[in-house]
Amino acid sequence: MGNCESGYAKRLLEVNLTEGKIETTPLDDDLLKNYLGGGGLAAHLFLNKFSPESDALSEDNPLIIMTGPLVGTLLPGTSRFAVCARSPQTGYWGIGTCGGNFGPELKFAGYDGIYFGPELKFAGYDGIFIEGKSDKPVYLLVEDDHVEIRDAADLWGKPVYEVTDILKERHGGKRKPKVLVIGPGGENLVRFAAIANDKGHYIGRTGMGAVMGSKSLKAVVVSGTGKALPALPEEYKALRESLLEKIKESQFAQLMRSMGTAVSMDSGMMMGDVPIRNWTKGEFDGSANIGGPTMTEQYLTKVHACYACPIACKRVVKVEGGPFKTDEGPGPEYETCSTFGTFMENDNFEGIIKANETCNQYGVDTISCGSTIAFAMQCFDQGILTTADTDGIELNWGNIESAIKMVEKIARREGIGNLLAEGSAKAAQKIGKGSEQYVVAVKGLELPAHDPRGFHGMGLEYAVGYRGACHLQHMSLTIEQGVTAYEDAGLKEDYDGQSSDGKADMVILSQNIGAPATSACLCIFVYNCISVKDFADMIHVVTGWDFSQDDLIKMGEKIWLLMRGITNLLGSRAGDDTLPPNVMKPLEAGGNVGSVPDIEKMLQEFYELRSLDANGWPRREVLEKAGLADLAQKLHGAA
Amino acid sequence: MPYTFGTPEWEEAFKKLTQERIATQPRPFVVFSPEWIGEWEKYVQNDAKYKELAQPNWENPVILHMLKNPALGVDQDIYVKLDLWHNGECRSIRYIPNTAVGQPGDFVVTGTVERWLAVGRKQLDVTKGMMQGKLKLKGDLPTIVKAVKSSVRIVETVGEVDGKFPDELTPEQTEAFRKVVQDLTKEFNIT
Repeated sequence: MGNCESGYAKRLLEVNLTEGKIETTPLDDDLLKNYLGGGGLAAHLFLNKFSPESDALSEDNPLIIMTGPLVGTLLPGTSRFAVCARSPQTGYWGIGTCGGNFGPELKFAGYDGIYFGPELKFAGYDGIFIEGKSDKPVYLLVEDDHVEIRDAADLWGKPVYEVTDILKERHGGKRKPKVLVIGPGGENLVRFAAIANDKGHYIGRTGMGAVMGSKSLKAVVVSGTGKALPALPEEYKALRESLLEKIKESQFAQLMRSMGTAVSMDSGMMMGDVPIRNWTKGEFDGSANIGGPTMTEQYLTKVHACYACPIACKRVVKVEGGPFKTDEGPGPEYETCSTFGTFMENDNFEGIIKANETCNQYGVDTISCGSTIAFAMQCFDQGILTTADTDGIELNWGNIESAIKMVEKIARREGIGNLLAEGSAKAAQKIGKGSEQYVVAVKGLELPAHDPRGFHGMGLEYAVGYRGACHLQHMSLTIEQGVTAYEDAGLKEDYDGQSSDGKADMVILSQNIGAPATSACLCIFVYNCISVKDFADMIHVVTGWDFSQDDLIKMGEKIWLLMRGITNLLGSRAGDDTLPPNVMKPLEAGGNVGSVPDIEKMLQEFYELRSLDANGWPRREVLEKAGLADLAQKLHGAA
Repeated sequence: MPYTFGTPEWEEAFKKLTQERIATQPRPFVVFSPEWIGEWEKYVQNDAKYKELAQPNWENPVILHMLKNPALGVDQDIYVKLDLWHNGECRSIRYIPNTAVGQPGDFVVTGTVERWLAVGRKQLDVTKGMMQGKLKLKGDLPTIVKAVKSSVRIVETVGEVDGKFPDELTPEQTEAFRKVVQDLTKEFNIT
């Protein structure tokens, strides 16, 4: 046990599951100062260890869990952590992030002080680097300096909530441990399997749960007794107060606190942000039944917050009866309301809550899962799939009962579920018959629920994303939608969403602003309410380091280039930087009628400004200038 | 002796003042002057687009709160209440005193004169303005979110009624506008 002083434990826990070896290695200041933590630091560690030839589900693919300097402090939005590896879904750089904490004072239905990231810091580690593969199901137990690989035979095959309860009971006294768990989806190597942070938060994107499953690692259990102490306690207190006040005043924060992320359904429909019928329609009257107000007024039982977060966007819901009856549990986020709602033209909110619970229990990403089922529904609609292919299930639009059955089949890899468990892109390759045109994914990662026809910059962001179509590792979405405006950092206060002009500039700056914050594991919802300077101040009071706004933007460029370069090393080329056909067709109704992103123009400008070559790779000189000579050599060969 | 806000006498006197000024003042009217408010009221009452978007059972007033800016002739905060009702009916648009603001069900949107002018000129999207903190919204958020389309429509109409913005006035016109606001304050007790 030890306290994390000045932002870091400065220790990495390394676990080799093949050899059963456990050790800790030091993390030096230079490294931490270069990448802060999270995905940036994980990418650096990955670059030095991985082989591009190794399959994502092989024992050679390391799984990296990483926190950041702010994690464990009481500054707002600092409960997050990242999980990274080569993605089995895309084949490229995989990263998922999540926060956590429902707080002991809000204990209910098995929830109990959920904050894995801070707890890992309290145990004395900045991250965990997991290599190899166990020959039998295991879980990792971390209790301060006591680290053990334990048998998980009795847990394998069990759903997320049950395993979470068992492990908390088994290893908890008065104070319960924090738990990461995979469900049957991860065990069965569903390519978009998620990792559950206790029951309420999910590392959903890019299939990190499948990587965990491939290692036969059912869970990671952490208890720590240390503290995270800031370098400058007085300044820290003052900054915390001022940030809390700023966030309290933010309209964005008020909306999130009031209705959770599902509030985006109502405003998003107006702006043309919400995809409908697998991205082929612009209007859906039923959306009014599946947004923030409906959840708040009809199904909400509690509102919860992540550790140290004043926004409190997490919902707890319950369906009291009927075919979609659920226990009290985590409510669906906006993305889930969309992928299991508008994507399928379903306006039954109880069905969405049930689908969310089902995805949670099996441990699969609600975005990719809902999106893949919507793809299958379009194939069914077009006669490419029939009931003979779907094990008799009618996959017609709006049929949420069928969608929920399909989630179960996918997670168990039963019948057509085995095909769809590969994700829409790989499934389409096997289905053929023109089904490829209905896939809505970039680099194999299904698009989150934000329509690039309403926001062209997001289209560019999806196309060039190192993890595929991504809405979270940058600030483009909220900047282009006008939720936030970093005018001090050079961005405009207002962008026309349905214009492609000037978007390459906007996207690059949004990436560079976002990357250090996500690497520090700061929640982007909090970041939406504050400035880059505020973020620099957060780093300063916790670590004692001085970063100017420009320093952080420069660091952001380096982190983006590093992750992009890794994706390139793993085989991505310029041709992968594209948008799927369904989103390149103009819509005839709704908030973005007739609008289509000029992706060629934006890509041309982006490539020039980012100095990417014809392969889509960052040029050698750009990498070397950014301090990424190792990556330059790996990508371009010895000079 | 000023009229007491909320009484029939106040209402009658205000209507009379508005009608007189509509008949006598040169057009275009100054935005947020009594005569412009009178024109705006008619415009919203006849706006088919708002009626189409409005919630059938809507009963919540929307109050636009303009922060004072003496340089533009606005020496005190101004509150303008839109009394909105079922099926897109706009029962009235009136100045109100700050003591009458914040009743249960009220939605209050606050901004500087410059921000309101930017909204009127369609330079500031009202939704983005609220998200970015340039306009501040108070009220029951789930209720307003359900009515987001109609709410945005109401604010849009500010820019559709012919008018001259306070920052477009000559110094003499600014002084005249200041006096109008001062007289309103005294006579109609809208401080």
